[in-house]
Amino acid sequence: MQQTFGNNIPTAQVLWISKALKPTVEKILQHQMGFLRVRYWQQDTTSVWILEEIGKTKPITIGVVVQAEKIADIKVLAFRESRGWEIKHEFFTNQFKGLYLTPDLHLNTPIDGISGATLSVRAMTKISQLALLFAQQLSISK
Amino acid sequence: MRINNNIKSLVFTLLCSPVLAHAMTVDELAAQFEAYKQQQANVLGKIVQENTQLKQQNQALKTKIATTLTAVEINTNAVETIADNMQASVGGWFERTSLGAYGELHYTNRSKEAGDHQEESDFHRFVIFLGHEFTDKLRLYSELELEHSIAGDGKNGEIELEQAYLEYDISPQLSAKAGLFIMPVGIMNETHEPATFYGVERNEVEKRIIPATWWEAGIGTAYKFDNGVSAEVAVTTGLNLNDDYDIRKGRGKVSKQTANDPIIAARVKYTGIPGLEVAASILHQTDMGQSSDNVDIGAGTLYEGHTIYSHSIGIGTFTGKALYSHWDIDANNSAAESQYGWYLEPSYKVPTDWGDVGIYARFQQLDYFSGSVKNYDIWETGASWWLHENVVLKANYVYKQDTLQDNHDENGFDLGVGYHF
Repeated sequence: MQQTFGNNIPTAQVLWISKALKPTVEKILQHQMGFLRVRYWQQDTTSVWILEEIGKTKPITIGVVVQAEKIADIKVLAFRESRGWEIKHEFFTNQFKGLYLTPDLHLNTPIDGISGATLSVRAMTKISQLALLFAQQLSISK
Repeated sequence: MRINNNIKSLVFTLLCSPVLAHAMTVDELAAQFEAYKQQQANVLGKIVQENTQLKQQNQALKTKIATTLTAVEINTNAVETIADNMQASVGGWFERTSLGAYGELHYTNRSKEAGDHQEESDFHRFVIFLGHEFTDKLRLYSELELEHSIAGDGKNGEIELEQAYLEYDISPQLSAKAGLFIMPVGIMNETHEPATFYGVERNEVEKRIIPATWWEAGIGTAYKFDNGVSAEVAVTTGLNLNDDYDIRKGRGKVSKQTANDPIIAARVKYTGIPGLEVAASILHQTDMGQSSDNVDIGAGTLYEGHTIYSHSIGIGTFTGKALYSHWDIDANNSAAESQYGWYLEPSYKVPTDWGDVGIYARFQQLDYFSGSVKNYDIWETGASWWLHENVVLKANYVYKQDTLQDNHDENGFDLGVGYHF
């Protein structure tokens, strides 16, 4: 958070997932939504999202920095699976930087996966899509 | 505004209507004017009263809105607190326990060169995963499998415990495990959920040579470097080959398994470039017959290496897989001493509005021993359609050429459906 906002970390805010937004979120997740709202931190056009998604059996906690509706940074904050650990490293996360959401809710460039870590890669891709979608909602509500 | 207009109208009437002015006396006019003033005062009073009432109502509404906003804020905080507590709660064992599953149904249609024809339907695998996190660092993984639908005396299937091990994180990079686990070798040995591979049946090379799925009991440790290199070492129970030197049949499956001669297994894997995996494994067993006097066999070493590369090309993703595995066995039969196999598998997967669709081709070459030498070239091609990321429909064509015997080739097609979660 400090990396993104320096010493002036904005107060956390909450985005409630509206009934209208829910189907879109579930389309990205490809399963039912397990949360009602998400917490975020925002300053100007930069927002930070901390989200969780199951890899194979355990939730992976990932932080996403969105700047002007593009991914500025993405980091694994907690990884609990026994496989797929490679997604924690920059050699993998670097390929997310600068990506944005297309109208059909995909990232504008496909992510090169990691063999044997398909489920972890998929979880991180979904979280990046969600963060971009949620950041769009902030722009819309303004 | 209304009063001003009325006054203007009256004055205009008084001044401009000579008929009225002529007909009324000054007193009458004054009286009428007074009556009019009173009437207007009444109207004004009513307006003031209405205005006061409106102000009061407005104030009441303002108060009500403020109260409602406060109530909403209290409710929001309460819901968030409950949600936070639910997320943070780790009280019940079930909250640290995870359940998963996979299954695959196959239809096989084969014609042999000699004239035999076989059509078969089989619910090949029905698997349940159960995991439990005792602490953040200590966890259990288990996998229970029912093969071929029905298990029991005289039945085709069996119930197998494929994994049941404890894993402990010594540090974020270093972990240790103990129990019954899948050997660190090959591509499909550890990752074999149906939606993760092409073809209805698993490839023959890993099935016959490695032999996947291969699990043993033992201990192991793994270290993950930050540059994408990982190294794994394990000491486990070993294979127990009999005099037909069939590697696959040598699996004891940790069922009252003779454990005289262990296996030492080591694997190094590199996944430091997205889309690329390069791995090599060596497994060595001092006596492939578990020191039995009934079979003349000595040490055995398995060498395995594979590469997987995926990259987006055009609208889809290309993936290429290549694997080579080779057993070097000290056997009293020169034909059984070297058993090997390799395969190449290019594939291309595209996203569609109805789910991902992929096509593949695979060439396999096998040379192994099972009572006699077996040598096959297998050509295969097919397609997969992912209805959901974890649900797949498959179809493929196979041509299996027996390179040692005439009139023993076979060909046919397979259909399958698989799922995992």
